Amino acid sequence: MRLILIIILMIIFVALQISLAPIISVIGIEPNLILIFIFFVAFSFGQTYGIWIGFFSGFLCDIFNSTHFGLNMGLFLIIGFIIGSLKERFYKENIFIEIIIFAITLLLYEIIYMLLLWQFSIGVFFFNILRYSIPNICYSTIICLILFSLLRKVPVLVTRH
Amino acid sequence: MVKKQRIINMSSLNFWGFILLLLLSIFSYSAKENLKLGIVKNISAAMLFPLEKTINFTVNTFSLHKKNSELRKEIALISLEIQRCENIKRENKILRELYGFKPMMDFNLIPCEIIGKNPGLYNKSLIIDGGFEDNIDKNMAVISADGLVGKIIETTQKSSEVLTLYNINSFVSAIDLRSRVPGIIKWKRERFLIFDDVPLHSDIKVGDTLLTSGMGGVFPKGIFIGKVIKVQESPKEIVMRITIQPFFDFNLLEEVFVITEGTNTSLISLSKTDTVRVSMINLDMFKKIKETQNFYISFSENKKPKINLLKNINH
Repeated sequence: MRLILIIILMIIFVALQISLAPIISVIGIEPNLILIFIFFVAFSFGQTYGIWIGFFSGFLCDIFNSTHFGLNMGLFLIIGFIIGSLKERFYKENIFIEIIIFAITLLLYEIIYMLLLWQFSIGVFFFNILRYSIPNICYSTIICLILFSLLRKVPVLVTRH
Repeated sequence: MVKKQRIINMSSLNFWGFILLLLLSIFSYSAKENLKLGIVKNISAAMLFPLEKTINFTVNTFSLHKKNSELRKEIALISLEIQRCENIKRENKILRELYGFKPMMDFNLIPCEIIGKNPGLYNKSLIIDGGFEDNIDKNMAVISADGLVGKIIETTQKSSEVLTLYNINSFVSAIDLRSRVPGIIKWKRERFLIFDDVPLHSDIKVGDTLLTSGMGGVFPKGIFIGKVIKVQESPKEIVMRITIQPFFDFNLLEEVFVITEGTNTSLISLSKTDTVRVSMINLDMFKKIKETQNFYISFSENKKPKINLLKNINH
């Protein structure tokens, strides 16, 4: 039951990223809804869920992108794996720890993505970090707080420690 | 708060599953050009696109009434503009023939529905429901009713991938409609596009319209791209920073048109079917042109054939 719900939610989140994220963008910054979902699943249900949901979310993002096919697949897989491992180390009593880990994850994702696609000078790279990545982290973190509290209200998605 | 455990347990099944999937991702990335994912793409599109459409429809419904009245007004204006353009087009055609210029091409458009959108942060692309079965090929330009959308970068039998202007790999050669200043349209992950490589103090103003320049051979000349919304000049830089708002809205796109080879109704090449018409031209003229290939035949408004010799022929 839980697995089916998570798969349905994964498809919904990818669709939301495609259609809703640009509409709710602020000063050109779109929240990374897919990463929020992968983080939620991996942090709540551990490594196995993190790996598979990370891989298939990345696959759905990359399938319509032949120029960088496999990039999101790999990155989301790594994120799912590492965040899934952290589930065993941190209790989820403190939402702020979760949010801080999410912000760090998103920053690392943005930096690695830009490095892998390297098409910028160093100046533009740092400009992109300040102009896009940092505001994106702030915006996505706020959305993350809202979505986490919503997702945790779904009984099937509540985990016991 | 923190349990003392190793983050990575190398003996676990998860770890080896992770390694396997990571290798698969790396393989996919390195062999992306050779992978054939036509069926998988169609399945994914079928899964995602109805959902996207529903979300877009729900969001758009709120602004439907306002948009409807705006569109009615726009249709009235466009109808007037089309009538005016038809007259100008006819005049232009006659003048080009008088000057001996090669007549402008009329575009062949293949309508396609969008069946998937890539949400990438750096590479927004589309999947459309037309493939090489519909004579769609790589590097064909794709437009919407509003303007240029992008070009085809991959085709399968029944679907194709469109590299949109919102992609860091997209570069379009463009010119300013008013001042004819050339430049390159790029995207650097901002909300809008930029018109790059324009030297400082060039004649670009807010509100100017940009068109494809036809350079590079991919995009036909004269397709509308967008409008200049901001012009910045800094003495420290050698080029202007010009922000462009494209005429098409990525989120609202539902169908696009692929431009295949242009057709030309007035410039006719010699073929067996045209022999009868050629023979209608007087005999002296036919003898004169017989020795050379440097001519073309055009048809005037009343369908009478006319032979046009190129000027450098000495007879």
